[in-house]
Amino acid sequence: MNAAPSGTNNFKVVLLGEGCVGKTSILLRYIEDRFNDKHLTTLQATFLNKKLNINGKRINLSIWDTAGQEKFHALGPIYYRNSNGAILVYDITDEESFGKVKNWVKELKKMLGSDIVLVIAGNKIDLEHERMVPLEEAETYAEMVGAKHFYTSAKLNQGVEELFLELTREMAERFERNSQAENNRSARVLVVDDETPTQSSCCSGNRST
Amino acid sequence: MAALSGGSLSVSKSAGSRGHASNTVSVWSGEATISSAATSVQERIWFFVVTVTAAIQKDLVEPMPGYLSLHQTSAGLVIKWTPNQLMNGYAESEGIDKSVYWAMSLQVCVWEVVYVHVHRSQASDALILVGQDGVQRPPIHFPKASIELVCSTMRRQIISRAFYGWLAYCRHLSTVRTHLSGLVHPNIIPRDDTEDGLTEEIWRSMMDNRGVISDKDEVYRIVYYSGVQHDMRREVWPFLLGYYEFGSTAEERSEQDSTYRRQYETTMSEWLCVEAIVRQRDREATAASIARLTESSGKPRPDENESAEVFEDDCSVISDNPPIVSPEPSENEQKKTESKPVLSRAPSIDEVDNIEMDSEEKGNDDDNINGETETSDSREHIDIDSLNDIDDDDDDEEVYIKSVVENPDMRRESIAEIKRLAEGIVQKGDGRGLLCSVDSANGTKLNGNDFRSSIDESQPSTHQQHTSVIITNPSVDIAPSASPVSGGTTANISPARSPLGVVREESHSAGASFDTLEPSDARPDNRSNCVSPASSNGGVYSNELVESFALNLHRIEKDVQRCDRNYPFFTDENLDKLRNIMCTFVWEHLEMGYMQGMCDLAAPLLVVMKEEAVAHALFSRIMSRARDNFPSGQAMDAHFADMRSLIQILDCELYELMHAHGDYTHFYFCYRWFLLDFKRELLYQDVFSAWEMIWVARFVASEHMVLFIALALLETYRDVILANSMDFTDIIKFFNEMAERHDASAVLSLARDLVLQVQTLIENK
Repeated sequence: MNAAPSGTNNFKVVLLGEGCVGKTSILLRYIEDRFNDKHLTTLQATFLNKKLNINGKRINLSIWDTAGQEKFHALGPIYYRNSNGAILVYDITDEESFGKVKNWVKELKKMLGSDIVLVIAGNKIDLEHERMVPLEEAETYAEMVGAKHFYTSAKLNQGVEELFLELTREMAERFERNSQAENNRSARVLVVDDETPTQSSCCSGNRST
Repeated sequence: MAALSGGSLSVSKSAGSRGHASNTVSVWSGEATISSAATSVQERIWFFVVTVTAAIQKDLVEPMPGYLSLHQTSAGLVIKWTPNQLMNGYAESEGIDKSVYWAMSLQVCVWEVVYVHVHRSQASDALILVGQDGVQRPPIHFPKASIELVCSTMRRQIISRAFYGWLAYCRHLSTVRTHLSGLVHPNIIPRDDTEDGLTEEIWRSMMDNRGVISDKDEVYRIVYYSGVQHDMRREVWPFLLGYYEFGSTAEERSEQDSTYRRQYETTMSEWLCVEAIVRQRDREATAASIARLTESSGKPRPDENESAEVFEDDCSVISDNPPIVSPEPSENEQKKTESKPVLSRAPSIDEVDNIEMDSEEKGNDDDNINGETETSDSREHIDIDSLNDIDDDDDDEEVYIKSVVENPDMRRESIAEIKRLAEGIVQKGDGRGLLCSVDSANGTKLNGNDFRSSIDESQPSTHQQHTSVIITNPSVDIAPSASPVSGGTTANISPARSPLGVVREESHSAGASFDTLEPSDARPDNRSNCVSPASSNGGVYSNELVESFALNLHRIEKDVQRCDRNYPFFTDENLDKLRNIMCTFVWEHLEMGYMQGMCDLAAPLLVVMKEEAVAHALFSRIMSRARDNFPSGQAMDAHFADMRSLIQILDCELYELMHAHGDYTHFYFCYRWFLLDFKRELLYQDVFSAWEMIWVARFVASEHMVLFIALALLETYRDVILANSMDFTDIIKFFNEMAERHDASAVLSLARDLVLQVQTLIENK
């Protein structure tokens, strides 16, 4: 959430989800636009940057990719703290992995409140015929917890770009809203402290925009 | 005075370079007079420790008394003078405007001073500091004859403060050293000509004609300093990991190998049975899910709500409880009469036919989907018994398995058979929750058609039913009438039916059973604390156990597929071996379960040892230490704490940087290093060397060699880290990118040097 002096907004994003659902593949597809069916299990965590431009605003995404297995769950907070967004990935052919998404949502809501933008990704839609997680169930759930739901295939490059774009847009929007609220608040304080007409007009002008 | 300040500088500097508390203030005392030419120093005065009386004379006005002090700041030495009026406890300070005094206070940076003049006169001595710019600082007046006193007091104070600072620092270091002394061995074992490492020539020369190696210390020493020649690793590693004992003969070792192999295969036969059950359940779960998906797109079924409940309550991940397997309304009705939804799994026998047909249909669907072909020619005869369960509490289904393999010598080929056999059962789809008794002829070669199964429809159940799968010992003769024993526990394996005479009951807490029938084992601690959760020659596997294994199995498979797949060694065949090692280990340690990273630890062992059972033996050895590094253990936090101490002692500059970034404190960037013994950081051949060193270091120099390798990695790049003032994120990214690009031999050599450094440090305490 740091606005660097250059006017670039930095957002921290974390990828969470059960092991082998495709977190690293999604990230690799997004950052390097390639699919490596031979990458290794992620242990600990890896970190990548992506710069992009939304509505003329420069944005830098710092993306953490984490180890998936339940046993490493305890490491989660190290990587998701101060995150602006989380991508919760499950494998549409693995019902269990969808359950894990629910756990993560619960935890993130508890630890970070509604400050964090959540996006749920049902990955591996190239294996649609093996689908185990019902379409409706996933979408209904996502709606219920206020998360956007995307179907992705890192392999076929489907939905990945859209997923990150939407997440970034949402984070940027929320950031705007928050900083505006902040501005308004401080402006109001100014009005009280210092009752000059110029200040209050500045403030109302600020509000009207 | 110039000489004096020079002296004070050097004293303070040496204290500073030892890294002791940097804001120590050196103060000199004595009476002094200061004449300030209306300076307007805006800086805030920090603090004083000792009061000094001074006086200021401002444009021929009254001399003003004040405090003179010398401060060491992060930038360097600073001389400060402050009027008394600003000091705490100044009697007349009430109600006066202090800002005028603040304006008069003085602060001179010593490093900006190029000349020091002392002007002596009748009335007083004045000290004038001249800056680089040639501008004089306000003169500081001392009362007549007091300047010598000031100087000597100052000298004494500075020396004593430096001394006490140094003393405190030493005490602190001594505490840290004591902590560190546990990390290395006190005695230093010298390197002396080990250049070539453990070559075949050296190894053979150490071995007597019976193949006994007795000088283990020499082996450890050579390996620690120079590693093992690659071709020799296969022979030497089992010694290094303590699988072979030094002093054993070649004959004893080969005996040990074959015993171990038999044992390994026995264990495998156990989990292979369970695996077969798991496979069947998976197929059913898939079928059920597909049915559910198909359904959910159509009309909701009346039992859908209940199905959902079953899933919720069950919480099992391998949804072994396909809710839709029986579309018959009769089952739904029956379900409603039952208190526990889990029980709905066991259908009444009336429905067995339906279910079977149903599951066959589903199976076919499944096959079509997966593009598999299934041989349906062997229509086995399977016993299905539904048991009346009287005990309401005992609603778990249980799976009874008796190992087909009784004679150890038979086991090897039997593994393939048991696999086929088990697959045979499950292919039919009858493994699901029904009591399957598989009978096979004693010792004869089995194939899918050799065992009979029958569907016994004689026991229609009205209420709770208990479901079990039994795979009996080959010699057990199963009369159809023997099976429908009531009660859901092991009662249905009567001693009479077990030629081994022992029936073990597996409690739900896995691992509780001890295998008395295990072939007697010569080696002392082999399997002593890793008794397989189910005994090898038969036993009852609780549903819980089957589910637990299923969960692990799925994880193992996902990870094995991904393990080192860039490395040519890992062909499908070798990946299968790796999978077997993992499954066997996890089966023996179900309470620990599979954890990501285990594959990485086993892979290099398999690469070197080639043979599955021995690789498993070595892997078990490694895990006995490494398991504490995994999230359930405590070792990782200890490693981080030790790293902190080590860096503090050996590289205080780096320590300062890490301290400045609070993020560093948890040292999580080392997590993977310690978890996998640097397996992911180094190339394969380097991993071999690093591992050997870690294994033998405990006998040579340190039981915590991993710490020193970690420190060596960090030190190798310390300049980069410092120059870029890297924070946690930077450093984790940096090391991720550097993975497999390190100069391993330099790093390992540095690690040894660091051990030596700590050893020396402690020796000189």
